[in-house]
Amino acid sequence: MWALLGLGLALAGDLPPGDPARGALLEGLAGCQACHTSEGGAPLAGGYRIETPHGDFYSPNITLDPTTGLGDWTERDFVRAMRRGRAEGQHLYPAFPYGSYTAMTDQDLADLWAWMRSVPPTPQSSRPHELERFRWRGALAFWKLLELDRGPRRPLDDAQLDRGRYLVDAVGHCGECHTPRNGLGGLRDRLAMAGTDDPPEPAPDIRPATLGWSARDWEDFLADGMTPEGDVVGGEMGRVIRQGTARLSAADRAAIARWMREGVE
Amino acid sequence: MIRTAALALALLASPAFAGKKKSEDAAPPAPPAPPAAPAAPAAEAAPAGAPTPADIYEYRHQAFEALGKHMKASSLMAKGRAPARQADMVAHAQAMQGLSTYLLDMFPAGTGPDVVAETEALAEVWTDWTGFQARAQDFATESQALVTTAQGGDVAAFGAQLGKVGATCGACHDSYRKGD
Ligand code: HEC
Ligand code: HEC
Repeated sequence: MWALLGLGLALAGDLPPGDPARGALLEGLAGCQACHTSEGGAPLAGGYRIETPHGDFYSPNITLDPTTGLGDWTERDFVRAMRRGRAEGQHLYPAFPYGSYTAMTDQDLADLWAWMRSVPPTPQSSRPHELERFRWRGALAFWKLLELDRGPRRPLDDAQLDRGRYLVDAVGHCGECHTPRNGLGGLRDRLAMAGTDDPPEPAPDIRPATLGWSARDWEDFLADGMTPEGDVVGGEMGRVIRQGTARLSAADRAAIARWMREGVE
Repeated sequence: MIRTAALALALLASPAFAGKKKSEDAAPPAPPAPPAAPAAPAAEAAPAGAPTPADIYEYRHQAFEALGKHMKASSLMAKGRAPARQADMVAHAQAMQGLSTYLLDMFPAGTGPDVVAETEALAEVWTDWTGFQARAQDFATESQALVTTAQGGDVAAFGAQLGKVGATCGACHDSYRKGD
């Protein structure tokens, strides 16, 4: 279960000082820029289309542009969006995967925020979402009540496993693509990483019993995207590797590998 | 009422995260066509019968598995986990480059997912043949460069070029192969 550790502190908005270079590394794994940048567009200026069966979402401009972007957002506003899925008094759609990001540490949120402030503001209005259903944001409160466990999780005794779980669940949000969902749209914990056929891009079953990968198989894959069979992943996963795991330290890749082999059932 | 709202609402969370952009598919004026389906050969010329679409798929599948093994073996050399002899690097590179010369021929019309259920190739291979050809050409170019790099004998350069070859595989899988 998720614990509410650190919540009091961070919701009050007092993050430690952040480092933009570390934030840039984190965002590669978290996929912020990938999802908030349209093809050929300015970084973080939004407009990237996310197709779903319920209609198309368009990611907003999250540069600090005063009129079309986040403008005068404070660190506290940022933490509220990341931990609680709220912005400017409204509930945010979980097309923004804050259900995973909510567990990020104060330090990592501080680094991400420092990185976001280092990205030049770009004036560019995003498009409104084109939803066929679910246009009423108020209803998101129900979803959150049932499916959102806010804040960092209680640490595991084994530091390497704890790190691996953190990188996989909170920052890498691997389950957002690889775990099937229940009728309420929440991740089915007991089928973690069991794969889904959901459109627009199905993701395979990556549980240890299915893959049978050694620690080294995992570490190689996370570094260069090549499976033990010599297959090279493309698409969203290619991006996760190139911009995310390939840029992490070898120790972090080893931690992910261990969690995927020992922490996932 | 509340339950319905929550249920309906929550459903929208489902596949949103794996979202990707719709591709703008402008039909090219006169796209080159994939190779025609194999013609039925004269009876006496084909004692064992012409290859069926399933046969063609099976061959294609094995050829790509072989390609993967050459990739993996090369990557072990690049990582310093196998002796990187120049002749061996060249042999792997040539095998991959060689496959690039007949890659398109392995995808004749009539061997797509509508006919061969097992294939991981998407129908887009045939409906967007021009785009598929371009991806195959990228692979041909980079694997040719890999042969040249291997001949130079420098394992670091070989590893770097191998990454470029791998990127062409990923780029093609991105649009023309099933995600799982
Ligand atoms: C899969 C796509 C996706 C990813 C990955 C993603 N976002 Fe978003 N984000 C969205 C969408 C869509 C919205 C708008 C949600 C809404 O309208 O309710 C959004 C909203 C936001 C907002 C609120 C903006 C506003 O004006 O209300 C912030 C802040 C934000 N994202 C930051 C981030 C950061 C930081 C990351 C990386 C840690 C990130 N996002 C990763 C899709 C994404
Ligand atoms: C945005 C969606 C998304 C996210 C996030 C994501 N994946 Fe994937 N993953 C995919 C897709 C799609 C594929 C299939 C790619 C292919 O076959 O070319 C895949 C493939 C894989 C494979 C290859 C399995 C095989 O046998 O070929 C592994 C392993 C994997 N992912 C692990 C992870 C891990 C670990 C994370 C988190 C660090 C992660 N994925 C995050 C979508 C995602």
